[in-house]
Amino acid sequence: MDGLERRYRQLLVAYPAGYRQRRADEIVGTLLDAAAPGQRRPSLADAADLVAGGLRQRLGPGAAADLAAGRALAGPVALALAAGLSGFLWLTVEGAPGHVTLAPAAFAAWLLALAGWVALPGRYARWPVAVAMAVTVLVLPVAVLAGAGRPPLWVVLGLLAFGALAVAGPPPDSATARAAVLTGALATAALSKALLTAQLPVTRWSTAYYHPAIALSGLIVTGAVVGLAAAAVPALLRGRPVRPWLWAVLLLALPGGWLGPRTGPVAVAGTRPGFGRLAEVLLATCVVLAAMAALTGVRAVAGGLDRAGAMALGCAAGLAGSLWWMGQGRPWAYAAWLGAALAYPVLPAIGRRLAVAAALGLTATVALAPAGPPWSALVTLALLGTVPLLAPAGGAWYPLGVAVTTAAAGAVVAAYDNGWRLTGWHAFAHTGGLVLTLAIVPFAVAVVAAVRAVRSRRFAAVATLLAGTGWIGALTLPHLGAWGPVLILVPLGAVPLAVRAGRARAAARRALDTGRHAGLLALARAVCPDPRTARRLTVATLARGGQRAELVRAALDLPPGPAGDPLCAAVHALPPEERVALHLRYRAELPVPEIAALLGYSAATARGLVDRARHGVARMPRDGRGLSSTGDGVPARCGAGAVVPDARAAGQPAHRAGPPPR
Amino acid sequence: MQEPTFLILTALAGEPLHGYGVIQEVSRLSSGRVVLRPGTLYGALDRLSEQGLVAAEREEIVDGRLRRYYRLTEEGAGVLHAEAQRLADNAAEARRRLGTRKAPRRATRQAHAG
Repeated sequence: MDGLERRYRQLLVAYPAGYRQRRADEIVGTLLDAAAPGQRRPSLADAADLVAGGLRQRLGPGAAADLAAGRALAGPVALALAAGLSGFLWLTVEGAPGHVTLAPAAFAAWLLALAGWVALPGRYARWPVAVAMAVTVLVLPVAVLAGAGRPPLWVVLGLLAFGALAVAGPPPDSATARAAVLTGALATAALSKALLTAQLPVTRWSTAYYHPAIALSGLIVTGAVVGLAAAAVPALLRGRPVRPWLWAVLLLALPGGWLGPRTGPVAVAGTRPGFGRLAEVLLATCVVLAAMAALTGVRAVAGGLDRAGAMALGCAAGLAGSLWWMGQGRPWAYAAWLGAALAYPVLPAIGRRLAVAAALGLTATVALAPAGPPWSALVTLALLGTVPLLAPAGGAWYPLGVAVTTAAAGAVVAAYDNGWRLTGWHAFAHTGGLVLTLAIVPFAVAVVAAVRAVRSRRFAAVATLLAGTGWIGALTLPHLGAWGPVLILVPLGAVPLAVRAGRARAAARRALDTGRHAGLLALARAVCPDPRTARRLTVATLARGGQRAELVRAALDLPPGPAGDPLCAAVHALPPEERVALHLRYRAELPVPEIAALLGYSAATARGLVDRARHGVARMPRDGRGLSSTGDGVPARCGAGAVVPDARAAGQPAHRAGPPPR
Repeated sequence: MQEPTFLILTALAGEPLHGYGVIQEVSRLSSGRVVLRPGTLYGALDRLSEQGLVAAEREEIVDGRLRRYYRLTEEGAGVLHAEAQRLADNAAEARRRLGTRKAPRRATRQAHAG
């Protein structure tokens, strides 16, 4: 494998594993065919195209289209916010006497980006935005080298996120669109200034970014987010698609959440991890991403909780490593967590449980001993440990990867907390408390995974849910007053949507009871044998606007059968439409014309699907069982979506079981 | 139907093609205006397969590279035919209306000349 092919294959990691398994060779072949002679590296455009393709594949076709439409709505708003806030911060904070940083260079670049957007022809309009992003990034190292002040990190990240949204959106296509962005920017700046003057009547200047300038900026961005959400209401009333608007809202809410909290940083007292800017940023990011995940409607793959467990263990090990390195308390409680993560790849599930239990036990022992590490650290580690204890079947190397990432993030946070100095750090309680805040991420992931697994693994899911919400709640709820507006509004906005989804499901259930949608229900019963699951799938599909393709996709996300069975794995790796055709033909034993009617294809297409699926299974590497036998017992062995892949059972010769001779 | 989709179906109308063949053919059909990249191409091919408009036909291994050939299905041919007819009707209507414009334009020119 030469360098180019290896790099293409690395890029294909953007695609889901199952898709990669069946399509990677073909896509890499086409990429290599299309490569220029002597080319060593993928072109930037090809790389971006592959990453976008992978994201589309992960989201599913419907959600990818909604996201693209939402991006188009959010882009111009993001640019107006970036330029308006730049003008406001430049005038109000940088102009203050005795407050000089390099930030005006970046702010000027954003105002020029706005000018470019308004004045340049459409195809060049996005270039100045990219330049402004580059200038904003460059301000940080230049400020360090020149020994000058710099804008706060979250302002920089917020501007970059707005810029990325503007660049990802479409260029302006009319004078109205250009004028709207300009008006939006002016309104943003004027409103910010007016609000600040109302808040600080005595002075024209704000004396610092943190309070109240960033909080005000967060408020303005929230206003834009609420405005977009309100714009979705007419679409809702007219029965037009609402999801693009919701995507736009969430895309803007992501950087908007970084611009809280409402008050200045909360003083961290004692040894508890504190709720400050870092906690606000992490929590807001997790909340917005969880809302996005709910919007994509990606149904849980069975291993979600196990993956969350592996992640929690990795985070516990990474945090233990960080705390150990900072030197507090007795190291062996920490060492046990590192040991559990190191041993994870080689242990079976029961061994993993024992290793985690041992680490929990050591942690408890240390907690009882005098002068141990702070309680907050031990409680955090213990609660993180409960997740892998309940769901130990995650990917082998996952905890180590997460541990390394967490330790690196911990080092960055520790340095950040100490003004990027290498010596003379704050007390352990302060820095250590901040580093522990990182545990918000694995807890949030565990909560989302638990909500999705609550039907299939009730006990583990509920226990994980309690541990995750308990820890996050204990950290953040006492500081509810300081929460940024985005953090409050996104969950609040989710409530009416959840109610609406619930009512749609109830209506679908009523419709099914009166005997409508019999065709869809018949398809669901043919695809999955359990009648209750079939009904649940049909209701979910109808509630989401009901299409056969969606039902088939959902049915095929059901667990494939015993892990490690090569036949089930081969069937599971087929493209969804082939898998369902195979299933209908050999498991439900339907004739081809009936399959064609169920799927809405012509008979020839349905027959082609069945043939290709059969040969696809025959080609996959396996241990010789299944295909050579008559396939008896295979349906019992494999869950929904698995079938008898015996070529002879189709009553046709296997005319093409591999690449044809040339 | 969007233009890239139309061009992909048109490229496959003649004979089955593999991925790179589709990219070349689409580029030729559009005189180099539409350059499909593999991520976009396979996204489109997946969508079209799911709709039953194209289907994978056979595979070849050339220089160790897997080439999967795609063909237009009967349904795909029907959809392409309908779309081509629609475009042709539009074009014919546009030509007809432009035809009715000729007289006034000549009159304008004469007015300027005079």
